[in-house]
Amino acid sequence: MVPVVIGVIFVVYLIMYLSPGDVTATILGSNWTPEGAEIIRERLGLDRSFIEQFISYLVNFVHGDFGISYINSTPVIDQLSVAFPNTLILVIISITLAIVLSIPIGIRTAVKPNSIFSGFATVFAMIGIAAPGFWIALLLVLLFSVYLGWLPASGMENWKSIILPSIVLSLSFMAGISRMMRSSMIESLRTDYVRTARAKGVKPKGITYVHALKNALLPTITVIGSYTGEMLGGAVICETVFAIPGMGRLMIESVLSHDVPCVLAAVSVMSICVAIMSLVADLLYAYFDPRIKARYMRGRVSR
Amino acid sequence: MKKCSKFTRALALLLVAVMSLSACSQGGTSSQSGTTSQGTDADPVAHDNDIVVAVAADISGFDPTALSSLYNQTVLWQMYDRLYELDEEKKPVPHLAKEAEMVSDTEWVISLVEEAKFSDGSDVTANDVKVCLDRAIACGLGGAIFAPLQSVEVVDEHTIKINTSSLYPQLPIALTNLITCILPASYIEQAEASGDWTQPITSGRYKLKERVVGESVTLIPNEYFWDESTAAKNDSLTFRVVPEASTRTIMVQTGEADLNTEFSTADYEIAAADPNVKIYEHESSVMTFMPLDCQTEYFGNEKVREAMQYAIDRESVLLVQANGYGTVNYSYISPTCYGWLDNPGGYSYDPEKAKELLAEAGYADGFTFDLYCTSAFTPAATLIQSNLAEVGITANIQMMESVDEIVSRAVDGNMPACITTWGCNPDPALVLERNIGESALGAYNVSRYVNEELEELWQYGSISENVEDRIPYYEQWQEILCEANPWVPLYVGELFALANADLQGVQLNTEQCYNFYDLHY
Amino acid sequence: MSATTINRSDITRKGYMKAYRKTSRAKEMWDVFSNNRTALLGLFIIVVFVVLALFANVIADYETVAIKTNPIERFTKPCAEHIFGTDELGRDIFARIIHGARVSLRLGVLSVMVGTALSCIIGAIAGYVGGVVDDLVMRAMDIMACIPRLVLAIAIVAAFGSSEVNLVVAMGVSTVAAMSRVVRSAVMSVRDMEYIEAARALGQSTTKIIVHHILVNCVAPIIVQATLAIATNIMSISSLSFLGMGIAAPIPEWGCMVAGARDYMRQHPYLVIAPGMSILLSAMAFNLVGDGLRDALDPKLKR
Repeated sequence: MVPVVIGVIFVVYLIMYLSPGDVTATILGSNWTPEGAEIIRERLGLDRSFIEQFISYLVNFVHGDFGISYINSTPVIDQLSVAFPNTLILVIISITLAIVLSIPIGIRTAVKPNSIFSGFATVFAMIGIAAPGFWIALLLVLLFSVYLGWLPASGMENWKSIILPSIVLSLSFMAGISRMMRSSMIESLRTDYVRTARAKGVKPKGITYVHALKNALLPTITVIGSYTGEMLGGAVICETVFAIPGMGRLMIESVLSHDVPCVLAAVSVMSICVAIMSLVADLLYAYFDPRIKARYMRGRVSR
Repeated sequence: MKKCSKFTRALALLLVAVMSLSACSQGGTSSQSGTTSQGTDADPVAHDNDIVVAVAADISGFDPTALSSLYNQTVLWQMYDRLYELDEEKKPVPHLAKEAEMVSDTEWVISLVEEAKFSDGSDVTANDVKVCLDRAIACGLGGAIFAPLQSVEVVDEHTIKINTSSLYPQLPIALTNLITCILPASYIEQAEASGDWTQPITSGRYKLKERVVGESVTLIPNEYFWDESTAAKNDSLTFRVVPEASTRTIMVQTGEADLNTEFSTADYEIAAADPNVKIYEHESSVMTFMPLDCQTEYFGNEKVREAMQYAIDRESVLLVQANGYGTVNYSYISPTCYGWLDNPGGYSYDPEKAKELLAEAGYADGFTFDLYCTSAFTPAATLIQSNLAEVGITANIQMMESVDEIVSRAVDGNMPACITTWGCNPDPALVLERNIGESALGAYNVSRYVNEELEELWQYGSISENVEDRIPYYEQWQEILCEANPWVPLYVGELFALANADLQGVQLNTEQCYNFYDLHY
Repeated sequence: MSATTINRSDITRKGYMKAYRKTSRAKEMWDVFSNNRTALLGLFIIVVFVVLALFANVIADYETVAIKTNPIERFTKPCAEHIFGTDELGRDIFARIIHGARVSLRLGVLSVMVGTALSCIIGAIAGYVGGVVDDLVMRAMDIMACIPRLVLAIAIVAAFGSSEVNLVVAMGVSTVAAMSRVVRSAVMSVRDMEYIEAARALGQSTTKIIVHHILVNCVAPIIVQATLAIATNIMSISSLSFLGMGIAAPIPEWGCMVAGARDYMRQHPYLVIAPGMSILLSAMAFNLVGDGLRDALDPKLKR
């Protein structure tokens, strides 16, 4: 976990370090003078080697100091502490929505693969995965905010304003998770122990929800974990369209205004979240799967 | 199984919703105004006096001398007082200054309102004013406007004296500028030392309640504000950052915001049909133009610059960029300025003439250059690109995030041409030298053009206190510029705002320097 | 002398085997694939887009129809002359869509080629060499996987500018993390086969073994992954353009078109429908084909 976090910060730092363009020009804007630039360079320690700069950045990062924004001259942490909760709320609601809706859909389509519902669900999944988030967002705004006037088109003021963004964000994950759920459910319904259970006379519902589901959930958990990253990527778009002051919009705005410390911090924090989520998914997987648990017990930690 | 059928229904609903949406979109515009008003009628908004203003961008901070963007101005204008304010007729009227007297051609004695207080309860003194004006002169943002200011002296507790280098009748106008905002000297000292401007002490009608970076700024009335007749009529004023134009419109329509001061005319018909909102229109002094870097090889050629005047279809630029609301402009100041001339160069859209001129200049096959602009000007830039392609010139559009970036590129000579705007002071003396003067090289003179004749003539802009005496010179400046063509002037738009129909006290002005203390229900 | 004889006979036998295997497997695959109606639909959509893209200039000239502005005709509703209507600058939307198909397909395919090439190198080395190298490389990929794909692409474009080349590289690099894993596991599955051992015993160089023997036999999963990646990359590129960080005006990119139409969407909703549908259809088509290929290649899911 720790090496992954350091690695992530390293990669992001490296990309930003390699970028051409003069930092001092961004900070000073039209007040640029060679002397002023020299002072800034000294203050930021830009004359040191890459490794030195990176290590000092990392040390500050660990202490919660993400530097000072080039544009606002305020500590980046101030902006992060506003943006992060918004994104967190959005992502948590979207993940919950996606899981709550898609797992039952997946089960249902697996159990009754030829029903009308399954047909709908398949078409929905096809569209959900391929529909660009920004476009769906705009269409939903057109429908629910402009034509119907039911939901607000932007912001993060109350519970109503979170509905549209979370639908948009969860859409492609719903599609993905329900598809995964369906295929692993089908597979698990074909296994020997399900057949045994059936032979034993367990009721069909019992088979579906107890025996098969437990095993079918495993791959789904991994998928959910690996989708967190995608979700944060989607949040960038969602937040831009719905004007939610979250990490994504912070990142886009600081990218556009060349506010390097802000970009660095935003990307790093998002990536660390993904790392944590995939760790959690791994742990959950191990928890649900006795085979893996046993392997972990033997001390072999690898994938 | 029950659960599943519920999901079937929910899913079906969603699908129906998506379908009906595409149906709506094919149905066109006929049905939509009805549904919109229906939606809002059914859900009437109880108006409180907490006013929300939707703005396109966040402020950069609370230091008035840091950046003079429109957004800083909109917010800081409410928080800090200046010595003068602009009235309806764009004339400066004394505000924190009680009386001003010109004791000689170059000396102004200004007495301050004695009862004025800062938001912490302390008195506004002559020393505070001196410190703030010194910062304004030193910061460089004012450029030519503050160049004639020599020094500021404290006469007594409530009187200052300003010395100018020559007769400077425009001084009161200069003292309305954002950068001359008055803050306590002690606070400035402390903030400059620590770099922390986040807890400002204000002198104006409002003080800061809360700022959420990137999201909003909330102001509440300053209980120590001295002038009760113009004190805040609302309980709070929140500036919500909403970058997307159509979203700002929707927010006013749904009651999420009370006022949108940057209403996009793309939504004009929709908003006009909605009885819940009201559109405010006002003539504008903001001109949109395309400066050409006269130190580049091609734009250094006068014939090429003249060809550009003929190559660009200003009417169409106005149509695609401002949806036709406004007037095309051929001059270097806006029609709201003293002595504005309508097309002194006699130019028109004539691609054939442009081609001829290019051939004469030796650019029969055209050339390639980078056209810089902010993303808001994409339609105009794309149209100009297409216009220029017709006469053989290739323009590559480069998007910049802020005007500041464009200016700093121009200073380095990395900006052959751009599309930008300028809010014109009614007095051309405060506009042109700041944009095309030698003294503005390295600042707002982005076309890096210097005209010897004009450098001689600038001084006549302050020759007399009487505007009529100065107008012939203003006309002469424009004629010279329309022959030299350092820019392609494009158009002057109109100002629009969209407010809740019940909101009182919405007033627009040419400079887009709005006061919001009067807003209330 | 004897060595060459062995070699030659080896080659002929191998060539024969390969030819035999190829035809039979390809035919088998096609049989499964062509029985899959949705996959065929996907293929059909792709073919339509490719044909439109190839003949874009014949259907509507780039310079005079797709690029040239015509303000008088702006906001023409869909009609016989302009089947999708005209945009805010009076350009024919249909012409822009088909020229946009060129851009999207080109960048989508190119970026996946870049990503696949990188992944093949990384995955093959990790999978074939194994041990410490494998661990290190896969750790690095874990780190890359933590940075959300779209966020990584935005960071790269932000750092190096949004030229077409940078865009392709950014999208390519952001596919590496997922794809190199697929390559690695494919390589590992064939690494210990007898014919590899035979090649090794014959003294062939490692590079040659990896390229000629191992990767050749991993083509199937790589193609599946690459097809799916094209879909995501088409969506990501249009998302980047929508955010103003991808393709610049006046190039008719679908995401750009949606972004440009956004201000006018309330009065002229048709402006956003066509470009959005194009993204959706093309991404969906590649997804369907990818899924179809996977089903055709994966015997486990065969019924």
